[in-house]
Amino acid sequence: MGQLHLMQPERQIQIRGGSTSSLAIRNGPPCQEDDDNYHDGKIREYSGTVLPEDIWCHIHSLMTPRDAARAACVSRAFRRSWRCYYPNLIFNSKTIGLSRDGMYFTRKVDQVLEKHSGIGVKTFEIDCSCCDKLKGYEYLHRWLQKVVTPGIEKLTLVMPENEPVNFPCPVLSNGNGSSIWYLHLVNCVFHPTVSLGCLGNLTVLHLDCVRITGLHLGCLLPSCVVLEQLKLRRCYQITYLKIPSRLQRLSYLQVLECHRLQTIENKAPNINSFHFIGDRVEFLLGESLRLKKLDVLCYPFLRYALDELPSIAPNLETLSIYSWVRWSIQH
Amino acid sequence: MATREAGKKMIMLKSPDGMEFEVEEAVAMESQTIRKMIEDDCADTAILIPNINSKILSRVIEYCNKHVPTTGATGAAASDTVAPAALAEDLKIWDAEFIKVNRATRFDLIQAASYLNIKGLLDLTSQTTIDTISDNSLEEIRSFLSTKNDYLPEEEQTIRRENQWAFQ
Repeated sequence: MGQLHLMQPERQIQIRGGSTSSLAIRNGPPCQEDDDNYHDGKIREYSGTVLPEDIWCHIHSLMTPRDAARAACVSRAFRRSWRCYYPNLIFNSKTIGLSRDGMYFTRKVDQVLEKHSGIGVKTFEIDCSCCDKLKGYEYLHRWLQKVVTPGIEKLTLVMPENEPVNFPCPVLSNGNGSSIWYLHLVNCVFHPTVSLGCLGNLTVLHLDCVRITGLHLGCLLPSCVVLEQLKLRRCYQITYLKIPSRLQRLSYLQVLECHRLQTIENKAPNINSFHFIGDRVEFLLGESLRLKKLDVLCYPFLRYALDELPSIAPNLETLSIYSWVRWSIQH
Repeated sequence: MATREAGKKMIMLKSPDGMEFEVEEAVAMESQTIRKMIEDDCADTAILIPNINSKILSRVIEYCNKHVPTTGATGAAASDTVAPAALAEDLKIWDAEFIKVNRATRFDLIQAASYLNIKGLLDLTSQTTIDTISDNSLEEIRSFLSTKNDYLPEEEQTIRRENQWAFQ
């Protein structure tokens, strides 16, 4: 019976019993073992260890969609994994290939989703900004019905600029959207109503070039009780933005180029960073006691900054107001 | 047997081939499987780690030892004195060296990481495997996985046609 004490400056590992001669235990950086099976990026012949299917499923789930689709051609087990469990369905110009033909993109996505069970999808991303048009809105509705099920975490839709697509809100109802923590819509028409149900796990809401009114946003926001980041860009139908006090965790607010916006009324108490680019807007920031960082590109904000901010945002550390010439006040 | 040395609680891990490894409890608890056993008071005596031989278990302990959040004599986290970014970069370099092992060892490490539920090690070994196979032909991948092409010719044609976009 041999006994080996291995000392490291901070930690101690003690090994008892058996032969210690073959143990590869070292101090400091690990030694490199001979990688006798991998050379010049080419795989040689192998025999022996085969990993169980559940581990291959896990490894498969970590692959990019392109690699995972290729691996599906290796064997039936991988095909099963690809069609039944693959969780990160990300379709964009990188995964599908560059083409301005929306039909090609649509057909490829549809082909994958037709075979996929829809079970266990965690991420669904469609970015067809590279296409002139996403032909066939009915496809999108069908795809979303398949993948938006309890368990989905991230949903991203980037539609072609010249053809805003109506987001089918009912797919989020009946608890289907309850597990989503990340929702990013670009070039969509989004008209949520109170019947949408609760997006109780949503922490990031990012709407870019989305046709949504303040009224519709008002139907959505109160249910997003754990929302941490709200980003609105070029949402031209919003004239009055009201952030309810229920959003206790909201810490970051970004409102960029929503040119018809007239008033921002904030009642969320814990926003510490606010980034605004826009025109003349009435700011009702409430008691923004925790606000520490404020970036504004809006000339009329100067008067508000000087008159009001010292009293309502006493914790402000950085205020940057951008104009034709950038200048900044620090305190 | 759980003991104390130099004020640190120690845990005994036992491999099926009879080797015993005495490690700090904090190191052993990098494994969520072992953590649960300790928290459930199932770790009074040596913990037998089935299916993981001493060679692989020693490598796993080596990994956990490196990745456990370090504390100095005063109990202050080491990250208080070393920049987190530098620490992360150091770990990344160490990981890259650690995983330079042959295929059989890597597969054993994957299975050990899966059984012991050590996410960092499972991610590292899985990603390295993905990197190895991603640019190879289907035949080369099959060879690496020791798996056979069990498709009928027409089935293979169909799946290849479905996923043609991934080969372009």
